[in-house]
Amino acid sequence: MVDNKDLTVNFLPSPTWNRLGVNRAKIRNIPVDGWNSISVQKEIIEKYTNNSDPEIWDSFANIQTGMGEEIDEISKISQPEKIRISADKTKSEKLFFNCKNGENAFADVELYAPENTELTVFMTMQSAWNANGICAVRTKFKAEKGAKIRLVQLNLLSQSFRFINDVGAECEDNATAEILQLFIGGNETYTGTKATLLGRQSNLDLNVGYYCKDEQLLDMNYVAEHIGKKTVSSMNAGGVLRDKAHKLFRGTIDFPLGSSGAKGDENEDVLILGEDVINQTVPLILCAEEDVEGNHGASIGRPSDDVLFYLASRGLDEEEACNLMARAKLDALCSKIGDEELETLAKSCLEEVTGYANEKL
Amino acid sequence: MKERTYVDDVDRSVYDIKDEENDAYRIKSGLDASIVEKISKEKNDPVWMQNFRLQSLQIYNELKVPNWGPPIDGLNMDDIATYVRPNTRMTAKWSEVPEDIKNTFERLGIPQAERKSLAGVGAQYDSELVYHNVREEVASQGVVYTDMESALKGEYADMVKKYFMKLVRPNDHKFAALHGAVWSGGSFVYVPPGVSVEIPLQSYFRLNAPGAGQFEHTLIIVDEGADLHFIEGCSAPKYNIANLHAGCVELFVKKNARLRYSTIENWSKNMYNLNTKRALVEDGGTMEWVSGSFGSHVSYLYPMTILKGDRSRMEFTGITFAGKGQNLDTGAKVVHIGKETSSFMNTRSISKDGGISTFRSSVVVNKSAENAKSAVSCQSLMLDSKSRSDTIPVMDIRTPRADIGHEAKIGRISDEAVFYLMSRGLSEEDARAMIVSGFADNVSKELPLEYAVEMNNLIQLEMKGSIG
Repeated sequence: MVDNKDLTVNFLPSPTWNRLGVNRAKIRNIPVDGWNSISVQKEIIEKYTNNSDPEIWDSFANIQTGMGEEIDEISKISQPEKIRISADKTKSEKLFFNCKNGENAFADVELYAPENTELTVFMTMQSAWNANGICAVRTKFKAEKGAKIRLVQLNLLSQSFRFINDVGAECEDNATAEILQLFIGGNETYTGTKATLLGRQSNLDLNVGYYCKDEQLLDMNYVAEHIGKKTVSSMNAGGVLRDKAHKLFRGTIDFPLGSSGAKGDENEDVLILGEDVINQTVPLILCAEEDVEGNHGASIGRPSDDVLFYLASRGLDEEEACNLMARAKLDALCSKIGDEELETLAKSCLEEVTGYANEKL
Repeated sequence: MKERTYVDDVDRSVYDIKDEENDAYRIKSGLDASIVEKISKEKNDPVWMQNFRLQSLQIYNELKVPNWGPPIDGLNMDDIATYVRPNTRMTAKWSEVPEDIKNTFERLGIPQAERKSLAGVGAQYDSELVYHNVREEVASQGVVYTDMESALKGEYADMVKKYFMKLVRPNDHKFAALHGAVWSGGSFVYVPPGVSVEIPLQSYFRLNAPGAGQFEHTLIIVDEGADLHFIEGCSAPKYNIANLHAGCVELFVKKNARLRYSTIENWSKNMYNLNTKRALVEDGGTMEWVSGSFGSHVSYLYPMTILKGDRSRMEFTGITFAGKGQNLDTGAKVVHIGKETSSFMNTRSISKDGGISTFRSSVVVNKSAENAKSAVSCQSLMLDSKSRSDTIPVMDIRTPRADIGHEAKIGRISDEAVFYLMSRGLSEEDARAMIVSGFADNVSKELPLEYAVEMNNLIQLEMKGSIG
């Protein structure tokens, strides 16, 4: 029998004190065989088979992702059929990854938006409420000149699933990568996103929301690499931590030499509502170019006394007020999903998890 | 064509004057048990210290060099002499200090500063103190300010034994272990309960010997309700071979006491500055750090504060100026343990001419630290694209009842700010100069006037070229 494997992922681009435990993450006990491909709707696979120049898809091998190279191990073991979607003018697709109980499954997704096209892909990872297993998804995308790719990922897996989510994006001149991620499910989630802003005035708009409770672990690594001139990145993360949840947010804005005129902003806003929560936030700015502007900010804690006082004057006690704030924070992100069906689905999942929270309160 | 603002290097001429090496004793280069034993013997250590040094050496040999900071490949311990005793004994009279050493300290302005604005001065030259004096009126309040060696053997021996390397333990990191093995020199300060030392004490560390290390130990205990401002200055002339500074500062701030620890560090650009500073603050105590890092080839410097007591607080104000050939990794660390503790870090860094400046910090709020508050603000200014400036903060928060804020900015001199100042009648040169000097203002305004002037002299602004 072959032993399971540990994968080292989510490397901090510039490491710091080892004792803080934030330089990398270790995913323990990854099975080295018995992986399946995640099944998605058959008609989507058929629709996009052979729809673009094979050389384009070959070039995806060079796109760097946020979690690092060891994710390839899963790809090698599971050898999934690639899910490739390309845009012509404007395209929108919804992928539902239905993960089965006891299954370890991997999906390898590649998205391509040729010049001046727009592609939106919604990915919903879901399972039965009591199912367990590993759901691993790697998504690479390339937006050519003036193109826009919008990726919406909703992790609505059961609280017993492990979720591994690796994203890599490349943007050419004036291209836009817009990424929205909502993490509600999974007992362990490892997610990494790297956007390489190659082209002049290309940009990244990233919005991440999470709601972690019980003993959920959420380990994140986001990197915006500004290669082109006048590139812009905006990374906003925020969420709620309850009970014994553990969340680690790494966010890096990287301005290498030559990225003149670039601007990067990152912000994290964390609401802590549990006594045994662990919240780690690591917002980096790496700068080798003079003519750039980088900002990061973080706000961590409970709602301010002023907010609580105002809500108390409206008849809400502190716990009700905190719960309201938690819902409001994530509802705002849900309203940006841009698809009514998925917005309703996400909100109902949120209701379910925060309803649990209500009972606890 | 418009030329960019030119910010000159730190003017080091006064620091670079070398005295002829005239040591009484220089230990052979390298590091092994025989060298450590020899240092112990030279210093006539008590038995516990002899053992402590050897244990530290063992830890040093077991630990690895950090794998996360600037490279220190150029530092070879086989080439470093860990103990160099100057050819003089410590005295409390400037007139008794040998002429060449006295001239060096006079050029650095130490005796003048003592007369004008200090309650006491310690001056270390290479591995040993050559001068130590405290004003009579301060001593009569019961304030103890002496060299570590005297404290280790005199009436404060028990106190030294109780506190020495208890806050920074040798197993903390490789260079803390090195310090434990080969330390020499440094100051011991004790401020009795309720005593407020109105004017600062200062220790000045000068490393003259090429290829040598300086490993001074500073131990300060500010007892309940007492108040002290301690200033530390350091410099060395530049040599073509590596020098090493691995000092250690341990600060104990007791209940309701306050300690301000100011440092103007201006080591030469062949120096590896691997210094460790740490403070433990009890109930209601206040720790204030003011730190200016201008020198060194490589620096690892992150003063750490442990807010153990309820309502204890810390403030860190720092500026780092990294020029050609410098890789300065600086910042601060704080651990909140007590309830209602608060911390504030406010830093500025300037990178120019290929210099690398990294702000590194950690804010750890333990579960016990209910109602803790922490704010971190760091700003970096890039003066050209040959340089580099990184910001690497970590926040680890483990209580829901904490209020944590963090903000960081990186960029160049803002055109809007220049435009605004020009609309108020300033020339472009003056506007840019004003912005750069204002950028450093957070530190200079925290220093006593004499030191603020000194710091402003360190950053000399020079504008050139045609504008517009």
